[in-house]
Amino acid sequence: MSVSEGEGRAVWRLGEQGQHTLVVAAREALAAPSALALPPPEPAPGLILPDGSINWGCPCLGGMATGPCGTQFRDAFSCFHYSEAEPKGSDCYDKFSVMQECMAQYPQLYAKDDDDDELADELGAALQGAADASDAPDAPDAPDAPPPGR
Amino acid sequence: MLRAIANVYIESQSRTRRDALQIFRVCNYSSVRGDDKPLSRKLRKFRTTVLAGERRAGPAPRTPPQPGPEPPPPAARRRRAWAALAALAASASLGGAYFYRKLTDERQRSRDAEPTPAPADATDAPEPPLPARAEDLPPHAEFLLVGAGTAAFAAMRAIRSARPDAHVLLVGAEPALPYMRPPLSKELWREPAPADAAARPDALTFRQWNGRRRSLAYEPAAFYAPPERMRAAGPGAALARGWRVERLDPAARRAVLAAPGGLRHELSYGAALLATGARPRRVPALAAAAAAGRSLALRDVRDARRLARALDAPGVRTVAVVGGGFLATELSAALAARLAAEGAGRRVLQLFREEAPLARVLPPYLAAEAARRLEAEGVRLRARAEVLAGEVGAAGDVVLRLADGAEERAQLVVECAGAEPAAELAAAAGLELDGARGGVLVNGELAARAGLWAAGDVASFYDEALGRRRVEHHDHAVVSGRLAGENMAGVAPPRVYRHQSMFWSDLGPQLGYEAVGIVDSRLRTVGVFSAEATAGEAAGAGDAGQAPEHAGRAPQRYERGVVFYLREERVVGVLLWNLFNRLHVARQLLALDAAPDLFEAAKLFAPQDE
Repeated sequence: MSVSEGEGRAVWRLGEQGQHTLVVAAREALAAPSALALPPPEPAPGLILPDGSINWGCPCLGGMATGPCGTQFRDAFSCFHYSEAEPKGSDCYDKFSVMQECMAQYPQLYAKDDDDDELADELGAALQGAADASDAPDAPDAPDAPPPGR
Repeated sequence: MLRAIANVYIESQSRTRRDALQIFRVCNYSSVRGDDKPLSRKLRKFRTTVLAGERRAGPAPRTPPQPGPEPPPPAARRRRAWAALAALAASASLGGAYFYRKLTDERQRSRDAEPTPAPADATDAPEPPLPARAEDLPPHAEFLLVGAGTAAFAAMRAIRSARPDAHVLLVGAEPALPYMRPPLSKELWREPAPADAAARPDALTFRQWNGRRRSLAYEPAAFYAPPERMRAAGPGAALARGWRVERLDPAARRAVLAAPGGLRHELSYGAALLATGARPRRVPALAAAAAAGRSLALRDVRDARRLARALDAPGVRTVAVVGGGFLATELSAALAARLAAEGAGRRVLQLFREEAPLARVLPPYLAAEAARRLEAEGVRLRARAEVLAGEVGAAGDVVLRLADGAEERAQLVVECAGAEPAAELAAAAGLELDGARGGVLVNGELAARAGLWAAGDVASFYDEALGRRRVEHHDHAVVSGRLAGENMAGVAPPRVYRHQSMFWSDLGPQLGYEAVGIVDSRLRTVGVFSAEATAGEAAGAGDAGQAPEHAGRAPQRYERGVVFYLREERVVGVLLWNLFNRLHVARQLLALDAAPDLFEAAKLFAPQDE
């Protein structure tokens, strides 16, 4: 018996050999807590791994790390991520310049998004709002986010 | 792209911005985070489809960009931006934003530099291979990817991610840049002029869920090494298009490439991936109609162009889609929606052998529901139809003679009879093929031999959880290509296939389904639906006192629910019917050694909630 019976459930055995079980249940029965606890899901790494290092395989990087300016991008982004300068990344100017020079050769690849202007606005707002982000009620800190890589 | 990265970076540094951009959610694969709001249905699709995050949209220029003559931005402006941002970047969380800002100048400048695309080329002349000369190809490929489809592209990404200095050569027979195929049976048919769009695959864009346009090609031509620099085989990805690998010697690690016009090139390689994909299976009874250009298959973008053109031809009133599987059903729905929008009374007729479309996938009650949904979309269904012959009549009609003696008429036929793996090269190379499933046999690490891997449609692989399988879905090409690429790069110890790929389909705007694992109606299934999300005779199923077994007839309509597929008391597949953002739970169930109580399992999917 792969499916239990209980209150508020109707069960059919369908198909030629009755191999297709169909259960139609009341909303309340389905909304009740499940007795089943599953093992934790397969971890899906983001851009920064739990150990604080950069995940170059993150799909969020798109072609940045794999394209023709991949090494320059990595150098610049690594420098920034591990920077202990104040402000952060201010010691990476040269590496960013090298990256920019490379990218300038590939305007097809490193051109604008559809919404660059909108982005500029958003960015301004983000920078504006970042100062009070910590006390904004609807901007909770992620409890299990990886620590900054320092 | 950079904005996306900036935002991912901001988020990964423990700050959640109120205005966290959607793109971040696309990029954030950290489904383990408990505070993540569920992705919207469409967003989930987007994420899975595109393989590699956000990219700029827009046609790829045909002429090479002109680097150099542009003056650098004024230094003062640059410094001002720097100073302003440095001041604002008081915390690590702002670093991403700053990082992005550094690049906007660059992008602003390049916007004006983009040349306008060349006009559409409407001829059918075969495109020359690129590079056009064999001597432009390198004498050695550190990583040789045989095929340039989704699996090969994903492998390239993985190799280049693990080894930034790697030289990767993709060899693809198609003239187009590597592209994603799902839109060819989905979004393409919502475009105003699909024939024109499909005529230029490198510039083809489609409208995705959020209204933004996205390129079919994974990367524009500029991403790959230019032909004149391919011979140098420097770090990066090079693409030989219009070329195919004709021979492969796994022991000597040598390959022979060939292109139309008698071009040949022999090279050595360090590691190779077989990602030759599959080709459509044709219906023998329709050979005459196919020869007359009246019966087509749909696999690659050239097929899509042929179909779109044929659809535009005068006199086409009925399009017959032959087949009852995923592609046939999805394409029927997409074409029907297109023809219905025209309002000219043209129809789609879907013919299949089974009782209902998707009957080999869905339990019968859901297959019946799929049939109702398709009919609501305007598809005329012809069940139990075995096509014995397709004769091209004098008026241009294709007369389909069916095994039950009936006839159907159409002016255009699309054969969706499945695909067979393109394994000839593997066979000629002395590799072992899977007699039962087709394709080349590989182990759980997707390795066929030392230095040789296979991924995507052509690989019959060993799945630790579900046993030996061969899978023909987009997401599998992504997942297996990536794993093969990581293993080929050899930076980390080889990993085995564990991440279960998914697939999805839509039957009109009101119904979508997605699934992981083995989804086959010959298996035992258990489906669980909420009474409110069904209609028909079981409307009162939730009432107290109703007998649990055989409570009258089963419902007739199914809005939302979950179906488990069982083999030897183990859950081997999960199908989510109009339920989205729950695949991670399904994957956890597949990892269990024994099936739990499936009613308790169903609760985890909350099928009562939209």
